[in-house]
Amino acid sequence: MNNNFQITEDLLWDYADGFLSSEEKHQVEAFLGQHPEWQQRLQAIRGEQQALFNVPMEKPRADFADRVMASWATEMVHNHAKNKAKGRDWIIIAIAAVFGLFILTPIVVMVVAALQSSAPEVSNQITSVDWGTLATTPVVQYASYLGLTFLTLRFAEKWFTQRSVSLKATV
Amino acid sequence: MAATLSDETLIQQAVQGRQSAYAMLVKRYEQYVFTLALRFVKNREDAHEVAQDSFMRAFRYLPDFRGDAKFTTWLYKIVFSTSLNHLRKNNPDILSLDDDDKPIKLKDPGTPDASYGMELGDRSASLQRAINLLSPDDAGIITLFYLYEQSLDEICQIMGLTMSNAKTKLCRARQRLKVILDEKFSSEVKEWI
Repeated sequence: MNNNFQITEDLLWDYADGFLSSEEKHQVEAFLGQHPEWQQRLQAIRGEQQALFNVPMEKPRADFADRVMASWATEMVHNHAKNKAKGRDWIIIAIAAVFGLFILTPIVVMVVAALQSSAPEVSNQITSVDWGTLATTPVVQYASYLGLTFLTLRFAEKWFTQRSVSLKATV
Repeated sequence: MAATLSDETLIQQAVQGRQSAYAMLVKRYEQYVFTLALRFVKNREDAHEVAQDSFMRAFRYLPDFRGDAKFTTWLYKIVFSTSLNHLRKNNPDILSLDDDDKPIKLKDPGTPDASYGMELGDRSASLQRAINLLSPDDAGIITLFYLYEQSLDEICQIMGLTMSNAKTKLCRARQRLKVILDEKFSSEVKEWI
């Protein structure tokens, strides 16, 4: 053993806490073998260490877990609503785009047609159509497409909403 | 059985959206989180707030937990940063919990003596009160190392310290604890060096 070896209280704590290298450990153990009074001190340190291990934990209030879960549930509902709103955004944008397309296209078609043909011919066509012919006119067809698209998008939105609700219900 | 589910299983279930798994994680760790928060913020009302915020943050970031560290180490790191934020909010001058500049007035240890006359329960209660009188980082490091049995390496991850810094801090915290026990609980603690 190194004759200059000096034991200290902190070194004993480091020994008890397992911080020493194997060489330092051997030095301490050799010293303790020759100095029973320091062995007793080590025992005392181990006792205090045990007391530190056994310090009781603090108890939160009884409804703490319930409060955390209530906050978490609120946050989840908030997030769900946010996601739902995000999901609706693209549906609304799609409806607006389709709607715009159906409004603009006939106008463009009519303007182009008006430029290419004479006005009286157009007027004669409109006044002479029966119900069967009317159903085949571009305006009625566009209106049908618009209605159909709107219904399809509404169905898609309902389906997505229903799916996310049933996913949440399985949690 | 639900009570025997591992942390990993509960985390997996929680990430999949199972609310009961979150609830079990809260129940399992509420005392640990609350005790650590109390050690840092020193006030039960604030500790409740910090503990609740810590759980909320943990749940929010749970999908990002990859299991590189122990769940408890990850959770305590959140408690530590939430406590620090809370203390900074109430006192903007606080930059860290470090108080290593404070002098430690250690009693001369004298001749070693192994006699200590207190029951373990009494000593633990005195220790608990003494720990609560320590500064936040001292109380935190003592709690993490002895009560929660976190390794020095894990403490470094939680408190953002280097290994040597953590070791020095732990040593100083223990010394300050001795001083407090000596000064405030000397009648109860007959033997603490």
